[in-house]
Amino acid sequence: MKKAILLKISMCFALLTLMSCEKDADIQLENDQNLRVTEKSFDELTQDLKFKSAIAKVLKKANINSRTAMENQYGFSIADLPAKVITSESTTSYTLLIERDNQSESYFENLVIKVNSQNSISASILKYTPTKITAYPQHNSFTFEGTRSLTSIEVNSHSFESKPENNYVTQGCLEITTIMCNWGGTEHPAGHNCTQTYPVTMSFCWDDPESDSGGGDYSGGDTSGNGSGGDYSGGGGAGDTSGGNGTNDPIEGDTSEINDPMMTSPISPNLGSPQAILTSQTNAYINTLPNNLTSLVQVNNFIFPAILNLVTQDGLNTQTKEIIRNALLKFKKLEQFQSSTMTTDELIKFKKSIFQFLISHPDYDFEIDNSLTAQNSLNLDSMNEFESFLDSCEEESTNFEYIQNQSQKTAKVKLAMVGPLGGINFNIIQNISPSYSVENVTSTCYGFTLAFSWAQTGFDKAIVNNNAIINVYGDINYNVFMEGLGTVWTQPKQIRVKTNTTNGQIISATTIK
Amino acid sequence: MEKQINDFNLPLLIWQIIVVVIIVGIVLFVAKLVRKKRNNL
Repeated sequence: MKKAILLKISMCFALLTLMSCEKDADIQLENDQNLRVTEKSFDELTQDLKFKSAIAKVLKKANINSRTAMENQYGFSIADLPAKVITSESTTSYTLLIERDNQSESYFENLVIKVNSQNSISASILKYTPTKITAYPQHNSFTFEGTRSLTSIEVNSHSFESKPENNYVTQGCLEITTIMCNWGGTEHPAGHNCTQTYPVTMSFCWDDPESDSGGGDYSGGDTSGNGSGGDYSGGGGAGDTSGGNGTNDPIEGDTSEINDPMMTSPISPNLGSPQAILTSQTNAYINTLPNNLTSLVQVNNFIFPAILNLVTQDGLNTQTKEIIRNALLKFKKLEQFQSSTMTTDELIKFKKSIFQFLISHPDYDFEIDNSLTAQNSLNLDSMNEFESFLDSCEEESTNFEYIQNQSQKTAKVKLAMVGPLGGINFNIIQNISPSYSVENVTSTCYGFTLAFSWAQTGFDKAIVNNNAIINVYGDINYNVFMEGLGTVWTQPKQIRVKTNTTNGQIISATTIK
Repeated sequence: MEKQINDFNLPLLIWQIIVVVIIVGIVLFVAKLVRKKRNNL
């Protein structure tokens, strides 16, 4: 009986084991195309003889280690980001991000080089112009919606010695297989960590920058378009190809591309980096603001970089969101006041500096007072000048301690007499209304107060322009052990504190005797 | 660190040291007297 039970349990266990083996086989089938995506730095690639020989054929005469030389010779250079190497049974494809001088941020380009088993090489520059791109930093990847286009390079031509334009195939389409990954529930271009890769074939057509009809532009769906947009059917431009005018014809004589397509996994600049995520989050936050503020960011293109700079430093938290919102509201209010004598350039520069100021000084507010006359005011020529003026005011007072409540602001001045051991604390109590008038001055000893005491005898104050000058008088008593037992000697002391009656801050504090 | 006026007062420091020394002296003297009295008992 016992044996029968044991046998049954063993059989169940064996069955379970076999079933799990079958599951593994299923997974194996999905990846049965033996596609392998690896990421390698350019330095590592240059050790790979196959790549070295391929790139030498694609970029003849180029010093690939010199960005400037490459830029000068070919109009692009290879970016300092890991390249993706896709290997299948018969081909190896290398995808490298390329950069151009003064390249617009609206698109990015990849140089894709394919080497097949006969060592035949083909190369293309794939251009991606996103309308929407979302970074997935956890996968070190992204999803892409937008236009894809192609510049195919005729590698075997011997005339490809100067600018590559000479060798660009200027019409036609190519089927290119993008290796995707759906790990984590999102479909994205595969990276080297992906274990669930699958190929999606898409049609890339020649991009004619001078054509205004848009012919040949491939309006691809997003990368999750599971290949339907890329299903190529000759001449007609099936799927999502727009335009038509014959540019969707396959490149003549390149039948190998149909049987053995070029493979890539797009590389985008800085996607998935913290900066890209912040940019996307900041954009998303701005889009939640009321229309008048959102349009303010769109119209004045200097606003977003200033906001992004703040977010980069402090993160997009509740506080920075509040700063951004307030700065935009203040800017909106200020924008109506602009000098008619300013040129457009001056106006943009001025507005830019105002916005930068509002972002970096969130505590400052402003009032518009038309009753002020220029002769009686402090006249400043730029926001920079205003900022330096504020800095010079703050420099003196930043480290003094202040305690503020709804009606009073107390400025604290510490008089250190025996180093850190002890001294006297002065509290200058100011009423907030009328504008920082001095209400009272109190003082006490602090620290090691054995054998001495302080007795304040009085204070006086004088207002000069916007400054209050306060003199505080008192006596330091040298006592026998403690106050009350007797005073051996008395030393008079006076300090002078200068405060700003417009903000209640201390400008200077010194001892007089 | 918050800003302060540094006005080092040497006489005050000397006076405080003198007082501390006197107090310590008195404490030691009293302790000695107490011990002596206890020994005599």
